[in-house]
Amino acid sequence: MKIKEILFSVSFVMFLISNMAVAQENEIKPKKVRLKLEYIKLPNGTKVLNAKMYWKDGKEFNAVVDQDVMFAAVGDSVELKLATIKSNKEGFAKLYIEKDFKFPINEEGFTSFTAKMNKSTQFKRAKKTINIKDAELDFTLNEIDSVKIIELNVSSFGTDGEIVPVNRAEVNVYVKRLHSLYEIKKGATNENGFFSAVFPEDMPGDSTGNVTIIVKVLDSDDYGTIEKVQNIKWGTIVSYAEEEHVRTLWTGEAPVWMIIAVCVILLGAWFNFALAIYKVSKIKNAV
Amino acid sequence: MESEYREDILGGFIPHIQKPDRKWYATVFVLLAIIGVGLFAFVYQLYKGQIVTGMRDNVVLGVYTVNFIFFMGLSYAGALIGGIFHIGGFSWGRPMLRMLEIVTITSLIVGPIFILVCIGRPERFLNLFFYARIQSPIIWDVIAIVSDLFFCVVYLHFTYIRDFAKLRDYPNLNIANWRKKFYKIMALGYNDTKAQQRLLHQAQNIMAAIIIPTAIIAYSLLAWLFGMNQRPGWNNSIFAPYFVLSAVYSGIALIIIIMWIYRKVYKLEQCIKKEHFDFLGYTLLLLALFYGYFSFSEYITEWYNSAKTSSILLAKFWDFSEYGFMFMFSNFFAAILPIIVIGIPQFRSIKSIVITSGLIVFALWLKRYLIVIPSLETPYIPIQDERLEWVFYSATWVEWALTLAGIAFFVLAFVVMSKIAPIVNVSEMEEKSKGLKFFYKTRK
Amino acid sequence: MSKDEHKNESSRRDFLKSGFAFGIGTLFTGGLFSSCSETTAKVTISDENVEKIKLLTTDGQIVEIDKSKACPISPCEPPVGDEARKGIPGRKFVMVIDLARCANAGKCTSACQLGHNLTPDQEFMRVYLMKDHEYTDPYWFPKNCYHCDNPSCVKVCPVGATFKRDDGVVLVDAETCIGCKFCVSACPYSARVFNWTEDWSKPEVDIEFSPETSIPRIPGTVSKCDFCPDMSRQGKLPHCVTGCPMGAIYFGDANEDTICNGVETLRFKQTIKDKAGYRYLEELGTLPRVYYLPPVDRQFPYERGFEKLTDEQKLRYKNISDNS
Repeated sequence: MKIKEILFSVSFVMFLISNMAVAQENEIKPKKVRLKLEYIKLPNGTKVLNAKMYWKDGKEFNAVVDQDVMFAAVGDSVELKLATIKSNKEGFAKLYIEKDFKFPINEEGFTSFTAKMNKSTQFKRAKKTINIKDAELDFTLNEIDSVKIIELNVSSFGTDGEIVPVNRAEVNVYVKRLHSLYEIKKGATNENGFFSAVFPEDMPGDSTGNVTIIVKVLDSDDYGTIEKVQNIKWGTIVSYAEEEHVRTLWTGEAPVWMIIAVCVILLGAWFNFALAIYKVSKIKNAV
Repeated sequence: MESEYREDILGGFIPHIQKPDRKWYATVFVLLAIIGVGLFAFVYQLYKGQIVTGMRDNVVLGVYTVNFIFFMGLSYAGALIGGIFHIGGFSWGRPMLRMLEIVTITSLIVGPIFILVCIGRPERFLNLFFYARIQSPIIWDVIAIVSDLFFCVVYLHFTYIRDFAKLRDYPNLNIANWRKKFYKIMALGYNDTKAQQRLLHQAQNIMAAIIIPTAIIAYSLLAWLFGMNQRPGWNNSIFAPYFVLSAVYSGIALIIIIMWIYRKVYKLEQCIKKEHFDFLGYTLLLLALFYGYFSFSEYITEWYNSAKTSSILLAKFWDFSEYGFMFMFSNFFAAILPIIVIGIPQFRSIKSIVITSGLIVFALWLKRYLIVIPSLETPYIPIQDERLEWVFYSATWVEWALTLAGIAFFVLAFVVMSKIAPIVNVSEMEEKSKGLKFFYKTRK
Repeated sequence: MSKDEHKNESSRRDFLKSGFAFGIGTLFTGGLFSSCSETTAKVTISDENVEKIKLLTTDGQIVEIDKSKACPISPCEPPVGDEARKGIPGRKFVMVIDLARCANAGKCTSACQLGHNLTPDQEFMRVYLMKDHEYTDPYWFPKNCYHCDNPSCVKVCPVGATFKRDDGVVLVDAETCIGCKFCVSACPYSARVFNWTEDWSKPEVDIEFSPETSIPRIPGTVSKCDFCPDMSRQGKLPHCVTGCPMGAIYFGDANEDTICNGVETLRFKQTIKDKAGYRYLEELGTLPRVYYLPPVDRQFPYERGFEKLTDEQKLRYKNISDNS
């Protein structure tokens, strides 16, 4: 009896161990992570470092959730650790940096930003570096002979800190819509860092004709993304007043003729009903 | 002849009104059992959701709606025919008046119950009154049904007053005390004085006069419930008169059946004669012709137009794997059979008329089925679904159980009502009537 | 409380007015940090609408700040009850479906089912296979609710449970709906779906019903595509639009004359004009708000739509696929 029990327990333990081993084998297979790093300069000068991380499962892309991402800035052999941020459920780790924060720069004015995720049981290590130089994007809105022109200028700093125009920077001009940005024009700046676009005549604004114009240097290798924004009453005025409905059966109120018809029929019928009741009620006292 | 009608008809009914016999109890028990099964089915449906019915997203209305239209048709027919008999003074129709009134009331109760069963959230039924939208055909119908129910209940009571007074005054009536009290209250102190006769007669006339248009309007509204929809087979201008006609048609056919049953059970051969069957048979014949004409008109316009969806719908009526048999049966029984059976004197007998009536009632039920379900199975965007029950409607046991319960309730009402007072309006029958005499004389 | 709410409301509106709320991803301004954190501290905003962000200050400190998400339309949360009967001011939502791009991937349907917590039995967005004539080529036809400007379903509703709003959207208030199903039969486009059973595959979230999300579904009532105004409130596109891998579905605001499929943004009227857009069954006079671009210049044969279907799903299109 005892031998049997021991044998049984031993085999049971072995069974458990073998199961665990299999389970571990399945777990230990860190996935390869694709890391994309974005540098965005917001209209008010705040900078955003956004690390987007995902891993591929067959054809599906999955977000890398809840992982620490270390951000650092390197310039002129100085490495400055910025922060460690946990990725959110979309796989984004975002760091906002105040306008006046000074990054270390090299002699050409570049800063190397790195985002790094350490190896874990789940994921392989991932790192991405981008070299960004600070640039300025400015734009003005002019109306010349009733042609609405958006003129923009991209500039950066030279080695001595002087302002130099940025040639051939990819720029986009948008008008803000509810779900997305409508692209008015896109192109590259000329040697003076200059680009212009004509605002379309028939672009609707809101009830007062207001539109929001956004210009962007989009995902440039050297300058990252730079955004600027302005509001102006350039759009056509859209009337929000409700139009008269020809067929109003679906609205809250019934057509007048219908209400009158129903009332007349009902009153007629119920009046007769009341009359009949009245006659019958007199039966008891009738001689 | 005349003397037959002047004797004490009430006396013949007294045994039926007094102690119910075992047969009566057995009948009531069976009917209650059927209703009980229906109630169980309803509770089951409430608990499980309407997934237990055959209805799905395309065919959202099923046998419940068919029953609703069917019973409402019977109800309006009862009111309409009763009203016409009363106003027109067709005294030969007097034996049928009370049955018509009971048909009206009972089906007016059963019909809307099917709507309650059909809607997804019956407990929100009162929303129909709280949030009513006059623009909705359903609200038109709600208003019409509610008015009609009030009018018909009151009218039914008016026609009972004299009989209740008679029963109240009947000597040595062997019934329970509460029933005696009931008769006393319901008779409203009627003593058959001249003034009372006049008042009651006026009241009855008024009610009969408003019940006729109410019934026509109400059933037209019911037809528009479908006709107003943009749906092939429904969006049809003939629907309102067609519905009214088929309502009267089914109503008269049913009255023939009920008359026959009571004639057998209560041995009423002395008040319900072959002439009654013949006369109603002629009406059936006339209605069959009209019905055939309306049906032909309905189908030929859609067929000739050959709009895509209408053609698909009509093709289903000719396809024996779809609605072919139903279509054939309904049109043959309702439009052709009566012409043969009643039109040719050799075939005409009480039995043949009653059987034809039964077939007509069944055919008209099928016709309502053919109006509701194939149209829903043929939407503008052809149904594409891998789930067969989403494509084709087929009623489940829950729906059949509730249908049977509805019929059982209808029959039960008759069984109970015939215990409360005579199933024939005794006072009217006993009344000396020239018209009646005339009728039987000419028939001779 | 209401005062505070009002304060929050107005500050959010200021936030929008200042024109900083836009762009890809997060939009944000340093100048508004204090006011935002202040209002969030005072007013209870549901967690969903508060984002914690990490800011590196000029002096090298990392601070964590609450920021209420920037919603282009206020309020951000889908309204409930009577509030949901008011349309989003100044909007007229439209949808444009490019039939040339639909390959019956079925992702619009599944994204919608996920977004609205539907059972697999219920499809607000259905893909049909259409073949008009022997000589014409079949094409895939995604169909949702058309949010008609003369809606047959709203006309027949006896209790006003379904209604059309100023922003063009037709919604169902399932808390008033009595489940009479006449709207389902009145709709010539078979757009409506009934909640037949309580046996949901997924547990319902315990929240108050909002017509804008159609969640939670109430058994015994009618549901349908709602054009996802709750998503538009957040500046996002409806589930089906973002779900479509081909970018076949465009959604937008006709007042802004813009439609977007998640990738490209087009002018609405110009697109309809250039590509001969049409509305399905226009002759019924229902005035749909969903437009179709005809299936011309297709990059793939329609058969590709069968590739990913199971044998059972293929049965759905048997009537057409057998004849072509």
